[in-house]
Amino acid sequence: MRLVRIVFAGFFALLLTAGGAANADPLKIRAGWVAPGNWFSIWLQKKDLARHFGQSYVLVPVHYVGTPPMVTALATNEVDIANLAFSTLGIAIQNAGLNDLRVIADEFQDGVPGYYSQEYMVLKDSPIHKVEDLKGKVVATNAEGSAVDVAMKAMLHKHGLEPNRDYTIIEAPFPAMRAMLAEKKVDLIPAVLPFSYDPALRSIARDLFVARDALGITDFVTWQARKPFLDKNRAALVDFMEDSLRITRWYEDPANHQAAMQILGDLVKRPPQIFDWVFTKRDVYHDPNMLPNLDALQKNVDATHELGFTRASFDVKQYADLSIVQEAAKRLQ
Amino acid sequence: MAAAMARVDDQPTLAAAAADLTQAAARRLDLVFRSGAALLSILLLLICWELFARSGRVTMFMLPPFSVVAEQIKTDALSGDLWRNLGVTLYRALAGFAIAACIGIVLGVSMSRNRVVRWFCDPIISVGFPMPKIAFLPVIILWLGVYDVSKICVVVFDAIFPVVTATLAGIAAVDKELVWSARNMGASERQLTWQIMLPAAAPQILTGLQVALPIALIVEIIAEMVMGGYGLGGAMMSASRFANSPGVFAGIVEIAVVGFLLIRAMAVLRRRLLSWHQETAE
Amino acid sequence: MDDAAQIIIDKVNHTYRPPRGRPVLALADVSLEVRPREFLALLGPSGCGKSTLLYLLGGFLPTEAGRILVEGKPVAAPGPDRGIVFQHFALFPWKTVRGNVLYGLERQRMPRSEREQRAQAFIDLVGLKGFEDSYPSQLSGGMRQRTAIARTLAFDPNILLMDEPFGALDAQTRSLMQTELLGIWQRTPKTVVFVTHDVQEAVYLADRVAVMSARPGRIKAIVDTKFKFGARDPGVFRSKEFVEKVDELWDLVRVEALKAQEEKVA
Repeated sequence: MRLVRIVFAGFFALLLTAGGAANADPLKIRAGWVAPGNWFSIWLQKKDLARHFGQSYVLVPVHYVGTPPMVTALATNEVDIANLAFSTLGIAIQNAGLNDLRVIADEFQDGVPGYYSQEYMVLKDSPIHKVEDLKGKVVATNAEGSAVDVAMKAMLHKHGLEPNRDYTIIEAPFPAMRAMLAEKKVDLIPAVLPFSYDPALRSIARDLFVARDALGITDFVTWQARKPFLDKNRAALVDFMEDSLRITRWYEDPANHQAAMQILGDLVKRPPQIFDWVFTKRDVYHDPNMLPNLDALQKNVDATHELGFTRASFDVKQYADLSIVQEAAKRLQ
Repeated sequence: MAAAMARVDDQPTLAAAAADLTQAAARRLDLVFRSGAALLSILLLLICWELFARSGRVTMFMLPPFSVVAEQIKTDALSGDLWRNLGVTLYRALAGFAIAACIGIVLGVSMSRNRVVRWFCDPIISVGFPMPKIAFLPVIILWLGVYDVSKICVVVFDAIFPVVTATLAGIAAVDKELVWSARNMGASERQLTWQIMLPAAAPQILTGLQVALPIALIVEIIAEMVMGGYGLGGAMMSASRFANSPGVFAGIVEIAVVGFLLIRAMAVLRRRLLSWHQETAE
Repeated sequence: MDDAAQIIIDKVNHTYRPPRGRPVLALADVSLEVRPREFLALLGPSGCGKSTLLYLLGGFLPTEAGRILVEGKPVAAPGPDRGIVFQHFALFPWKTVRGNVLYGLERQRMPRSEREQRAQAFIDLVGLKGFEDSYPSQLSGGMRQRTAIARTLAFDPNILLMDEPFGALDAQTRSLMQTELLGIWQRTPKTVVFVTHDVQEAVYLADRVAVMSARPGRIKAIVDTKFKFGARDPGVFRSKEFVEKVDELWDLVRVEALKAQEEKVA
């Protein structure tokens, strides 16, 4: 027990010095991302636009292989800003006990009219033409309880189909989805960006439905941070958010389309052409003010609960703090 | 006692028999004490876990108390989830282990007895042994799907190596005179292989199997964690995805217990199979 | 050449080739004949190649130069006509005494009941009645060697090849086993080639003793040790004739043993 005490003492001492130093040095913001294309995966590539970078704050993007380690990192204060999907918010707040988690900005929304919505595809020659035809079939998902999974199950639920009772679910990683469908190992796959624009997939598969059909507008992924962090570093965070808006707007500017494609191509070490859809109407919706759609998010959170993935629903407004992003947007007007 | 008596040519005296008896009793007492001590250390660990988890230094998410984890295991057991997951994991791990054992022994024997087979397989074994076979999982999923076959396949791939190498080493170490004796008595090459080499190498082969069994369980659980679905590893992965710490820790406890029981069962099997061997005759 | 000879060893050379290191000439120009039902001892210092000669006779090693004839036919492979007993018994540890004795019989076409009967007879012969179901690991060294002898005798070889069979036993057991072997030999007469480095043992057991030189092994001398009296009771050790024979052989062997030792030191 003495050892434990020493370890903890050391830990707290470290925290204190880190806190003390923050006043003098720029705030270090550790930001988690999962999928290439997430803002934090391409943010630093345009830090030339970030006026306050290195002054009031520095950004350290951290790649996580999935949501569970990011939730763990939030709980242990190893990441400051996470980008969880709507389906994980309740899990982080309720199961991981992160009551102080706040939605602070928007990453992207799905199903906004005129923009992309996640597709759920069957083989072109498949006998499945409506959702009801999936009864007794095998359905692929990336991970049970993920946002992609919730949207799919919500759709099937709407049409009276329940998992395990009416259809079999198997899990597979996104890159394997096309092969799984082609080899008829499964009857339905979720197709997400960038895999859904793979010509090899489009030549063999067709949409059965899209996420919009299931949930309407989905505030798919938002940014979150814990309240003590927000309260303590508000000024620096407004600076950071102001720079973030500059950078995201740069990416969304059609004039920079080629450059954006190149950045993403470099990121995943693939030809930039495969990202010809990025930040266009063929992409999901990115709000120019990075303002989350809390009404949509509330519905999404409720749907997640209805499908039994979270113990209870919650009022997203109580778990959101949009003041920082709003103040930053005001500065740029 | 029969064994002890037989070891001396002369009839043992009554005093010697009595001494034997007290020794046996002392051994038994020692055994009880040692297994008790083993349990005690685990009990102590659990108590420390409980106290530390309840001390307020960690959150429920970081380390749920053991009592909460035990409650979770009970809930899973009552709902049948535990048994279904346990059954699936054990089925795949043991099926993979059994296949690896059969193929591994046959391959090891063939390699020792046939130069061409050895020439062909030796480099493959040398290259394949240190490879992390679990890394082939994505490819195996593509080829064999996500159901039992692919998981059993990975288990076989990982568990087969210690069996092959142990069989090779065991056969290489078979006493030359034993082989000559059998030949002298007219044993054919085939009889030599299966009636003499294999049983003579059995202690080492069983050691190989004892190494392969926990590997089979570990690989099966990792495969489940990667591929998802049912099974103890799959359940742990889902629990982790839902930030359900008691579920994650329940999985760890369940896997520890299953692994412990499997290893004990294997040790008992070894003692049964090698009742003739010196190590067990003592 | 003696027509009556059962075993003819004619100008045999053998080179031992270790996996690493250079080849060593183990046997040089060895010629020897053994008559039917003769008890011949091969006596020599350790490393003189006497065991190698026995393995050649058994067909366990290939004859490279010279020839070895058994009953007129060259030795090509091991066969049940020449039964071998090893110093370290070479019992199958996973088989019981009975299982070990039965193994050779199972390789022959013989009805099951006859096999079992025969096995039991030989177990009884070597005095292991009551230990049929014991495993070798449960037996003393002497009992293990008795099992090995029973196993070899059971498949009825014409020739018995014994490779220092009592070398691993303690002195008392060895002496008991020697007397017992003679008794068995008298009951089931066979040709015996018996390798030993124990002069007393050779004189006590053998009709003739072939003394071998230090490496490379040659036949240095052949000494007749068949005594006038038939009964070989332990009292023979004290007889003048026995003591003289032992002395004579000791003189022959000592020189070779010294040579062998020097070679080891060098």
